[in-house]
Amino acid sequence: MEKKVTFKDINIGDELSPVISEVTQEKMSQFGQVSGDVTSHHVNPDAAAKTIYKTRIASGQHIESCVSKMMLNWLASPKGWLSGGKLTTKFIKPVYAGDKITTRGRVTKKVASERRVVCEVTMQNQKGETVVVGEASALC
Amino acid sequence: MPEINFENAQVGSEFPEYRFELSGDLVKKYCEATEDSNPLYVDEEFAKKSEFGGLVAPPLMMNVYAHFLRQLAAAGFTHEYTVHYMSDYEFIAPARPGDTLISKMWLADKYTRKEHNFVTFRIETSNQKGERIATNSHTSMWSK
Repeated sequence: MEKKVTFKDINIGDELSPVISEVTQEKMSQFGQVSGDVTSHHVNPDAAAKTIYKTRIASGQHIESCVSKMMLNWLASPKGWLSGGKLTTKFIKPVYAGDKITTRGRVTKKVASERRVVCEVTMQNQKGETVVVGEASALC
Repeated sequence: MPEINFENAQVGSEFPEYRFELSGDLVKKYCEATEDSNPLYVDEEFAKKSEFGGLVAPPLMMNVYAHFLRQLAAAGFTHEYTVHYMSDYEFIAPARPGDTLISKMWLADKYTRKEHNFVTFRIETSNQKGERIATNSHTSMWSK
């Protein structure tokens, strides 16, 4: 299990333990059931055929969930993420069923006045292509 | 039902308040779909002993209880497909199973870049006690 960190343990440049997620159509459909997005191009092949991608792609909201897992695996107290966390993401490439997505974080800033740590976030597929970039920060 | 599309989307337009009853069952299903087994979300005994005093929902479950497409549908709009482009979240307090989450959404921006059309919605969610839970700006690429 990853060592959980507090503000004083954290240094700029520290890397968080990556989270690896295998995206399957089954999980994409399960997510669609939960999100209520069951007729969309994430789930329905006919709807997907009409998009610029021509096939089903994973919901961005589904993929973003890996960042939350990574942050909570890392922080000693979950409170600073669940009540004080901030996250920005930008999708560079679509994620397809069968992709293996690795989510990574690296500390870029510590704000002592707030006890906030800021991490750059990248998500890459199995080909090493960046699919998401972003920033996550938490109080700790 | 009227269609909302890039042409007729009005920056500044507000949508009706959206209410969502968050059940423990849905939290479990979200955790299964996202393969997140954090005990704060699914283990009642563990969560009771935590600083939260009970189960909480994953913060990004905001994308379920305050999803902009749910809110468009609830407001009576149809739309062509959209593709997620950017998000900006602030998690203020955790939602909990049993909460009624109340979201306000408005169309914050629309723009064209590299021949693609983008629309940004701003969403603010509170619970039934009036406590702020989370905010989100969601930008997607619109096909039409």
